[in-house]
Amino acid sequence: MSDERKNDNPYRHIPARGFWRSAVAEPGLFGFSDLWKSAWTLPKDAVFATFGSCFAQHISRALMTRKMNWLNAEPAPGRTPPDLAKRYNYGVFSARTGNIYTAAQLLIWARLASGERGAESVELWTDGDGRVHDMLRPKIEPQGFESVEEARASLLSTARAFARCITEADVFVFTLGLTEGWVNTRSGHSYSICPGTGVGTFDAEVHAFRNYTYPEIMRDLDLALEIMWRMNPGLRVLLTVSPVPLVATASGEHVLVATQYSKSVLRAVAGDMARSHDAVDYFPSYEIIAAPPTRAAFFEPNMRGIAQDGVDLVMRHFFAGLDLSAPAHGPDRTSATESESEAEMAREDLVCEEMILEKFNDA
Amino acid sequence: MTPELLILGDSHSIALKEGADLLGIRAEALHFSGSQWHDLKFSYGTHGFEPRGVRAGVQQMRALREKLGVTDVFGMGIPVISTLGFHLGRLVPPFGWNDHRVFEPGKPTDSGLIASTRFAEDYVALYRARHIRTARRLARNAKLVIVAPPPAFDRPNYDAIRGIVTRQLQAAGVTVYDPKDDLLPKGGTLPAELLMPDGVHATAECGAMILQAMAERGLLAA
Repeated sequence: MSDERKNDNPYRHIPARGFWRSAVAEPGLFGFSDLWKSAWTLPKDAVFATFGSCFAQHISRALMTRKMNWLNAEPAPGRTPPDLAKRYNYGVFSARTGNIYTAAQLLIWARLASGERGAESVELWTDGDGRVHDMLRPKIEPQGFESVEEARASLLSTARAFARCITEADVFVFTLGLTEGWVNTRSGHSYSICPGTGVGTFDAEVHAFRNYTYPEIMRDLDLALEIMWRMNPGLRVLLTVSPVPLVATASGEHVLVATQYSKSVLRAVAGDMARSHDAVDYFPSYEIIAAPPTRAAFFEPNMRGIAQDGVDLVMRHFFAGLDLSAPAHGPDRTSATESESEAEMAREDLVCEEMILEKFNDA
Repeated sequence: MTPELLILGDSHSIALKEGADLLGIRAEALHFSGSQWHDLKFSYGTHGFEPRGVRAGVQQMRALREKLGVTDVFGMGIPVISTLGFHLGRLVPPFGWNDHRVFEPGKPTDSGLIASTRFAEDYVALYRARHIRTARRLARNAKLVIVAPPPAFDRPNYDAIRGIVTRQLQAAGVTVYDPKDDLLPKGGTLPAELLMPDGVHATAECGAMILQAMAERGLLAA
């Protein structure tokens, strides 16, 4: 056996990106390369839908800023001023779901979108002013809904938009945010925030804390994706984990310890899910922000908020790793409705103008 | 001769003026298009109400001032009827560009996107704030009645947004007359014989019917 063969081992064939010194220590934080490479070759005009915890909205914004094909299946009504759209949570995610923090909530949305569950399965709460709030999106309307009927109609409208995201997107980007959540022990309803924290009334007899475990999250995510793939077998799912720490924990642990547990479990679920499904990939936004080489440089002084520079770096790696070399789908149809309506309004204007001028001339 | 009635508004107010002519009511009018009303081409200043940057409107205003010998035409104390604030042809279609429907109890909600009533109210309030302020100021100096456009067709969101504009004007203390109450007590839309060939605007006869109904309710008296 030659010396060369004797000294051979798998690490001799690993590229530079596989070694800490050449991939991290030497290039430094802003020199990382090949951090992520998309598992798929996507169409040039690939359609992205984005959902999940609050960090997911950065992905929505970055896709919009780059004028990429971000699917906004539930936009605000036409000509809604940006401030009003923001106040009513339009344009944050691809449908008006609000934050989807847990896999359990993603499963609820998948069931609503597929029709497996109806709007009546979602708990509603009426505040002291008689305004109605749905407990899946408790802050979606700044002042709640006028009635139970309106709340349910709005919820189903969002479920239809969520269904469009499943059936029309090429890539469904989902950011896992939390392991901790609250459930109704009688109905099994999963809340997006603890009842009593702004919306709802806390009842210790009914409301129970859950720190979802790896197997539970894996099961819920599996069930949700199963439904989504039944609706669109070609859907690709890109998982990310939010680097934003917990604002508080009800686990009894120190919030730092609880955060690390939560993120570790979510990271493990996302990684294993990506390894076991060709249609699932993992994008390392969590690592870019929270791994030791950043020295927490991208956290705001409260060590929780993420600075825009960090978001920008995450998105640079995201876009650098995308492969958009497949043929495009073709032109978008949505703008046609607007231009047809504009033309119709212009025709009506002309009629009105002519009527007025004729009247004025007569006078 | 001093007019008995002043009419101010968009193309829908033409039927009111023609109706007044049919009824022999001495009326003077100032009309400019709904899109110019929507685009805020008017103001209310020291000389009262004024069209701004609307050639036909400015000319009509000048002619009215000369004829009546006053600057603040709409502040003379003569009753004013107006379509100010609606201009639905500019407000409603964009609302539906993305397939939105304002939630309305009892109406189907199983397709398209549903916008809450509160959202629609905020949307309307943003686009109609100056109109409502102007109506309130006009109402201080004359008996003002805003006449809602009679429903000419059944298209999404028209009825809901028409109702929201009405409620916001009323909440500001402005009197609103809805011709539906007298002309269409069982609901529906105007019959073809009361509509112009464009299918949108009411005829002079319809305008006369509206004025008669308003007179019976005491809405035209000074």
